[in-house]
Amino acid sequence: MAQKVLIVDDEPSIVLSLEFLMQQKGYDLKIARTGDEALQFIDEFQPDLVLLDVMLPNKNGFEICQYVRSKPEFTSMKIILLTAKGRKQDIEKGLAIGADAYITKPFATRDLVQTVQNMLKK
Amino acid sequence: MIPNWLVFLVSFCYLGFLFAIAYYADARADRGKSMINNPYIYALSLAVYCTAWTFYGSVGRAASTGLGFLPVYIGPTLIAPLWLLIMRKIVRIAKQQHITSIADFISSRYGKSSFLGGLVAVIAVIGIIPYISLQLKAISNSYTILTTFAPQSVSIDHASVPFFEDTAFYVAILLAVFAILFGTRHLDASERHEGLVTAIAFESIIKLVSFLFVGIFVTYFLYNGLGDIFSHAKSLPDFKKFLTISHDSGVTWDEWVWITFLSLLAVMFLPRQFHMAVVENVNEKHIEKAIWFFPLYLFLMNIFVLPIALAGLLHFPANTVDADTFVLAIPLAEGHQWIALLVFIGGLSAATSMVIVATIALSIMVSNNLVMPILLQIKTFLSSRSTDLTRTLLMIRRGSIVVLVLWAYVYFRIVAEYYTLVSIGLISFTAAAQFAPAIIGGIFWRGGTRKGALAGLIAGSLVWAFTLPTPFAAQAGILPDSILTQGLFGISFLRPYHFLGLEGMDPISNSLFWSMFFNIGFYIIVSFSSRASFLEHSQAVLFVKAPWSSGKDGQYQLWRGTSSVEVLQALLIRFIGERNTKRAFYRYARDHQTDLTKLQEVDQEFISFAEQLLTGAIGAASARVVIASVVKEEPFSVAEMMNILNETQQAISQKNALEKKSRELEKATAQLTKANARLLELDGLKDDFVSTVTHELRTPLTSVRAFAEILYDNPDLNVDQKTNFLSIIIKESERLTRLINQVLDLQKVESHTMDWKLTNISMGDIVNEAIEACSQIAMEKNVICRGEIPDDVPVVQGDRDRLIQVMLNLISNGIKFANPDFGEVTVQISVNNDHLQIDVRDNGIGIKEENQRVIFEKFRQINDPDRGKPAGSGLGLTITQRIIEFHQGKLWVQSAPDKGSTFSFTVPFKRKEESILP
Amino acid sequence: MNIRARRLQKLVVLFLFGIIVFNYPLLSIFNREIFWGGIPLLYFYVFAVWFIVIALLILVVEHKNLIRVPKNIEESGE
Repeated sequence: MAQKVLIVDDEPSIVLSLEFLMQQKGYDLKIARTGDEALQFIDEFQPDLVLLDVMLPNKNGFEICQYVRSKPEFTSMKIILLTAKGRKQDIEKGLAIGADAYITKPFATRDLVQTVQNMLKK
Repeated sequence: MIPNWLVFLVSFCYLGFLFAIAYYADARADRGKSMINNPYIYALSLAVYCTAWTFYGSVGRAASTGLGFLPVYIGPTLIAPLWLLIMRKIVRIAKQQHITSIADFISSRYGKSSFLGGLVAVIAVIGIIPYISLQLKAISNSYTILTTFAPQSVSIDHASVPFFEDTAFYVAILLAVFAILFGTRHLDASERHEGLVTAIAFESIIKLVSFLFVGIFVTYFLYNGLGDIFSHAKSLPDFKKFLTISHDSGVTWDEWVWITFLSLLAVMFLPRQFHMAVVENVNEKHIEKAIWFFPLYLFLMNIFVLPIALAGLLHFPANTVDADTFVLAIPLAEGHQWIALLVFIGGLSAATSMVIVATIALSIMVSNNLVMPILLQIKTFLSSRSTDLTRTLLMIRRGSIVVLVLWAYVYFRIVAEYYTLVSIGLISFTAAAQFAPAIIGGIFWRGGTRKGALAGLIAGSLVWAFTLPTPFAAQAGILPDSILTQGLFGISFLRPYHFLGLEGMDPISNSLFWSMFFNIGFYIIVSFSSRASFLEHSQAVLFVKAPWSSGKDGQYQLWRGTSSVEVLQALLIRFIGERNTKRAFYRYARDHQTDLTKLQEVDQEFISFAEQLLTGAIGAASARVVIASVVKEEPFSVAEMMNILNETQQAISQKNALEKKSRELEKATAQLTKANARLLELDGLKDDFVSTVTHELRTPLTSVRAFAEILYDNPDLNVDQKTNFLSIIIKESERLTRLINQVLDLQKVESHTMDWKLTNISMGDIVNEAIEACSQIAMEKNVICRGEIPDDVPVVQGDRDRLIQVMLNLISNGIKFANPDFGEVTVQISVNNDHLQIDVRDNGIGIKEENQRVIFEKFRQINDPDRGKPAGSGLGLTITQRIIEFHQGKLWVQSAPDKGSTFSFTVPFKRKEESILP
Repeated sequence: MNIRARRLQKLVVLFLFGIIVFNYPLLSIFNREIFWGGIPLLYFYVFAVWFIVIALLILVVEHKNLIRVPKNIEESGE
């Protein structure tokens, strides 16, 4: 069974590019465009990995990350923060909150795919 | 006549009893049960004012001058009400500064000047020694009379009695022993001498009781009351002088007034009075009791003086018995030897109390203000091997007691023969009065300086020395008699009793007037014309500001320097002993809740504390020198100096100006603080702005890069996908360009480098053009965009491109937020009196009221969860507003949630010439 | 506070009062060779006024203490 990836971003063209990249590697996909949607899909879809943008409507990525980490049933869920906020304190905050990786936009597609694959291999 | 041995026995029993009382009180105090923490004991101890002069001399003076004996006791009564003002202040200062003598007080007030303290000590010793010797003389006289009384032979020749047969000599020795035992128990003289005070209070009771006893005996047993004595006295040849104050009576009005004034000062500033009232005071509340109790004591002491004097004059034929001895002679002549013995005890108590207290007070001055400064001059003294200086210090004080008492005894044997009790007493009073200007001025007038006090004291005491002791010396044959009659060097202006040609005053008044005249005069004039040093000034402020509401108020930290606890402790142990030091340190640590052992470097407060401890032992000036030897002083900072300058006398005139300045400064500071806060806020906004702009730049860049890489890595994509991805890349690149342009625009507007091109333009054209340009995105978003433009829109002046930018911005905003299902954006132009109004209305979700103002602020975006991701960079509206402002119009918004928003702006028809662009 | 200030004022007034009653010229009114119940007028005056001054002092100083009942409280405060 294919592993499940949730893409959370509100920027349509970025979603499109991520969708293409993940589909290419054969993952089962869901796309959320707002924070609330993201939470809903995390509960229902129970993805193995979340590609999570930080600046989102309703709820930001940090809050979603915190939510995931507060639930024992999601301990194995991987989270990659994907954001244009590249300041050092943002990165530190993200990792402190429990993200598994922090990738700043713009990203190199190969690196992104590599990171996702590495995480899902374990 | 009473046998020698009996008088001797009684005298020494009495003194032995005195020792016992003092010993008992001290022992009780050591167990923590103070005898002297009692206002009546305090008030009684002040009655050390009444000496043998009062006891014997008052009657003598009454016999010759009638009511002339009274002013000496009325003066203290008059000043007593003011003790709450004067004495309480002095007591508080003395306690706070650990002051132990009048010399220390003056020295401390005027910058802890060693010289001033020494000068006061010298004046005090010279002025008081005769007074002490007077007491010895009284003891000796009374003894002689008691043992040899025969009405017909009264001449007493002290010189013929060898000193080893003289009772007074042994009494003097005993008094010195007493003073040493009970007056120098502790080194810190600011610790109270419980035994001493109790004994003195006891003596005050004895002398009052015995005097009242003899008074009642004479008045009511020898005669039938006061009226009886007065009616008998009518037979006296010069009876009238006892009834009134007049030239005939021997006391004139000015003498009355001057002596009242003199005693009013003396009761506060005689060293022994100062010692009892100030140094030995345990509770300032006791002063209140003394205010009425002490005058009452004096009142009782004086009631029977005149009756006894009259009785004496009636009893003994003229000049057969010295009037100074009437109190003894009357009971003896009447055969009441026991009463005479009681009187003798009373006289002894009066004399001994004075000798003891005066000697102790003087010895403190001598050791702290004369010997100590000299010792400190010797460099080896401080660094000497002997670690324990407490013994040395005690020896100095004890030694000076012995020297003072013996000096007084010698003086009595050689000089005091010649004078009556009262005259010498008043000479001492006048000497003590010299301290008054420096003290009173010192505690109420900040401007008094060290030089002023010095000049006043020197001038006053020189005049005193010339007008009182000098003529006495001349009368005694030590100096040529011609000084009296022709003046010094034959200059008639320099006759002691008629100084500067002043006639018609008695010697005491003459001396008091002139010495005060020069003392006060020099004090004030020199003070005005000299500047106070920093230390002087801070002490002055301290003294004048007292009483403080709390201990620290108004106290400057006078030490700017560093030292360690160990060094100070070692130093203090040498001077005041280990036990005292440890106890004081413990108290300090407890009160300040600090652990002294952990302190690396002590603060100024601690150094001041150590200095005050030392002041109690060796005097203010010496303590300062000693502390300075171990404290590395640092210069005062400008801020501290300014703080002190604020208080200086010279600055007072500038104070108001300074205050005004400081208020202005305060205002400026507040404004600066506000501006700074605003700047910080702006800085934060700018930071956010940069972060936002970066974010906005990265987002399209991400898409561009991602799709470029996808296209690169997947050359086999189908054509549709390729086209789609490439169009996204183009669209996102455009977005990037737009953003960059906006940032640049804003930067230009902000820095006033925008290149405005003003032409005559038609707003209608501009609106149409803008709607046209937006049609593409409107269609994409399924929004209907239309303009409502009247036919004849007046031409306005403006920058065409910029106004199109404004319209584009507002319309695209409207499109962005219009209702997603059936979106509508309407642009309406209306023509008003002097301006056009352009409204851009959408039917979207609207803007909450609290956000309506915020959206125009630079760098701000609304982070409204209901509205979704903030659109754009947050710069569009800011730029729009700046452009409209340049066109002298206004931009505002009207909106309500779910009712859509209307952005409106105006463009006036005519530009004002003066640009209001900021 | 107010009571204390008033007491201080009263004491200053008493001081001035004393200065006047024990001084020329007021004293000169009684400076006569007259007897009052066998006692010379001036002698009587001086001691009577002296006593009055002391009585007034007691009144002013102890006034506060007369109101305040517990005496030990007063003693303890240094």
